[in-house]
Amino acid sequence: MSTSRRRRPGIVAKLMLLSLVLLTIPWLAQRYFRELEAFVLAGQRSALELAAQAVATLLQGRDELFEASGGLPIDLSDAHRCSPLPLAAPVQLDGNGRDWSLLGEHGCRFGREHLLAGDASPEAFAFDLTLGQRAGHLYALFEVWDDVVVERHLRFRNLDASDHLRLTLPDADGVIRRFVLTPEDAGAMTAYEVGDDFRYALGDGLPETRIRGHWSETPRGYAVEMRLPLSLIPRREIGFAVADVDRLAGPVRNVVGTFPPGEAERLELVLLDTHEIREVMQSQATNLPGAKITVIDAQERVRTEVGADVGLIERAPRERLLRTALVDAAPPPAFSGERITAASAPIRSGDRVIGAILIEQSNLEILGMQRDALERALAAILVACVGVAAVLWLFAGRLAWRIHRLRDDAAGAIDEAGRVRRASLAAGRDAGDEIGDLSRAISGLLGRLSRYTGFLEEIPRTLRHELSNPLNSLSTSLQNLVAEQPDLEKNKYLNSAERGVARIGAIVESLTDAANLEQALRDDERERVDLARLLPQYVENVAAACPERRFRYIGSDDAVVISASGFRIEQMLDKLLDNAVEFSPDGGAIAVSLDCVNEAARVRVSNDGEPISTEIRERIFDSMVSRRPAGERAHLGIGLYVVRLILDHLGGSVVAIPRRDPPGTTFELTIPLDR
Amino acid sequence: MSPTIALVEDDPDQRENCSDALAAHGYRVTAYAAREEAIAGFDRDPPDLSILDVILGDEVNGGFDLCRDLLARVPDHPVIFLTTRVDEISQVSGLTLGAWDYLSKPVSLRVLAEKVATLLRLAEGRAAREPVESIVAVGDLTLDGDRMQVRWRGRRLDLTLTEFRVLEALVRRPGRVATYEALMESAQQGVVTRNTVNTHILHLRKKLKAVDPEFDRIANEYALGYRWVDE
Repeated sequence: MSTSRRRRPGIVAKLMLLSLVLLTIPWLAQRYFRELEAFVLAGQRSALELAAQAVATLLQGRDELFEASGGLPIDLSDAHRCSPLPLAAPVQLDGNGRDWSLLGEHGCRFGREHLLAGDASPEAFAFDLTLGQRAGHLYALFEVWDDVVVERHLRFRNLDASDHLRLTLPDADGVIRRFVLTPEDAGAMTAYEVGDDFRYALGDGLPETRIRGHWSETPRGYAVEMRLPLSLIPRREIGFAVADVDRLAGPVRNVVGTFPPGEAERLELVLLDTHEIREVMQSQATNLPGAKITVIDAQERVRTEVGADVGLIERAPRERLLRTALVDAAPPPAFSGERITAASAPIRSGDRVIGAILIEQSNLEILGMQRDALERALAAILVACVGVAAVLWLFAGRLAWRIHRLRDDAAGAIDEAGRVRRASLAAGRDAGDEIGDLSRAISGLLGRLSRYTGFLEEIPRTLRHELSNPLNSLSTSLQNLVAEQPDLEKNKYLNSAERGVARIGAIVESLTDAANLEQALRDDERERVDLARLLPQYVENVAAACPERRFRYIGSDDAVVISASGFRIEQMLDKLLDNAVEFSPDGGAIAVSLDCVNEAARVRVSNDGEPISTEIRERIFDSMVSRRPAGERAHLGIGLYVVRLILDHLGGSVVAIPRRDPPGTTFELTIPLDR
Repeated sequence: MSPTIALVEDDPDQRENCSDALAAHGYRVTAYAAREEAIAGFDRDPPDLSILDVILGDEVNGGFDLCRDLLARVPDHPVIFLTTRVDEISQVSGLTLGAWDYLSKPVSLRVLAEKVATLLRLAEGRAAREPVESIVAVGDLTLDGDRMQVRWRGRRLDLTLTEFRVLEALVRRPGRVATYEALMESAQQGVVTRNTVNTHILHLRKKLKAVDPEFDRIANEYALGYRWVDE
């Protein structure tokens, strides 16, 4: 029964492992949301494509908006018009034009023909202006030809005491504001709002910190990088001028500017925006919340930029979008970046492309919603998975518990001797499921086993009953035979028949003894029996009756009292000693010893002779098991079975132990002490 | 006129063997195979003693029922059960009904004849109610061999014939061991083992304790037999 088997994972562990499969659900959900995200982005892209084309359609054929003759004050073909290009990368204001290089070709040269004031030799004084736009700021790069560079000295309060830059721009109401940027020590530049003489700072003379600049000397003169927020130029009109001073506090020799000579208040030369386009776009921008619409002309100059500030998409896709629209005259597929989705469309006029629409929209909002939904769904799924796992765990635990209970119940239903203690299992008896079926099936098996063992136990009784009647016929017939013919009394055949009858009678009797013993034991009255008195007396009497063996008793005189019936102990000893005598040689020693171990009396009966074999050791106390080889005198194997029955009744136990030196067998009985 | 013995036994061979043996001892035997048949026979020809098998055909307790009927008609009628049913419960049931002895098969016909003779004598003795001389007294114990009556300190015990014989053997030599062999001999049954003797002693002790809870005169002589403890 107790074969040790490697412990495999139980039902609970297996179900827990299986429930790991549940983890694929969050994974699938995540994949599903990824696809949904891609789907949503695709939707956004196609929406933006459509929007870009729709907006482009609004400007279709309106050449006038992109040309001087139509709403623009100056001819756009003028090579000296300068307009800002988008800056893909941030520009560091350090007076170094390197990070502008890609836009360098868009720079405009201003020189002799733009001399606003002065008399000097214009060959020696001119500047290249490049404008850029990024993140709500206008950037300007001035590369100035100047033979003498004069820095500002703080000793002089007038701001035109050194080389400086002049800015002219109208505010929202059209009132002209003027600023001067002066170069200072270590490349810094400071801006002040000034009056119309560009000489002294207005108000309390504090610098205008929103305008920032930096300068550095170059081989030809100096370079200036500056920027100002677009909010400072609400009308998107601005004019720049560079004033040349050749010695500190000396006169301003030359002023070269972006506005035409003699037209000091015309500022459109720096083209930041086109009002009409802007107005048209403004209404469109409100239809596309969160989007920025940029109108770009054929020269890739930004003509207007309306809507939300969403930042810029990467340079490469932007270039691609614009090039495709402008050069291929076809709406390119929209692009989705990390944060921004952008679409473009060409603006046509007849066969020509006169510009392009670029719409950029943040996709963070949609994706954010998407991610929130994903997180919520994942959390819900995880909670559900944990819940399902917990339910599975409970279920498996209960299942395992029920099976364990059934197992224990089933294991306890049969005792070690194979007798059925209970023919019906309580565990799971009323359950309607498979365990219930199993329980009932086991109960059915136990019932059949019980009937079978009952039948086996009845065999001696039945056998006796069935044998007794014919045996009685035989016996009485023989007796009558002798009575009728007295001369047969000495007949050897008759005598042998009588002996046979007697033997069968003895066998039947011993069968009955064992069969009736269990019941008889229950009816026995128990008394206090002192084994320390009983055993020596018993051994003495046996020794007297059996001189062929050397009997010995070992034990102290201290009382060893058990609760039993004296003649049952005697009956048990009879069987043990019969056995010991039978398996020991003539003259062999038989020792009976008594001591107390762990609140129990221990009786040992040892005999010389062949040690008991290990195969039979376990079964020798079962009914009808004998050590005698087959073929010898018939033996029923009842004696040691009787020993076990009596010990079972007393709550004791018995084992047979083979002994090697000297060879023999020891039967060791343990009987609980009376208290 | 010789006494009439009724034999109720469903097995024809055994019935005939027993009948022959008892007839050889000079008894008149009326043999029956079934309960109904026996009741009719008892009415027609009342016996002096009945020997009953317990299992009669399909009636597993036929003998017991018959005994009950019989003793209802004639109380004190001597009944011997002769059966294969030797378990304690059956024995106790039979004796409780009022049977005088309970013999197990296979039986010695000699023993059976002796039992019959003894019981007939006892029945006669009881019927006569005359003072008898065969009374043996051992201390507080008196044994009336003719009437099979035993008294312990004046109180009467109900013993079967076998128990009476075993007790007789035990007190024959008070204070000395009555060996198993001697006790077996006294039991006068076909097959007697030590266990049978033990069972009889057990019953004797119980019956004595029933009239005297302090009774403790029968001592085990382990592996040898029993001893009546003399005062």
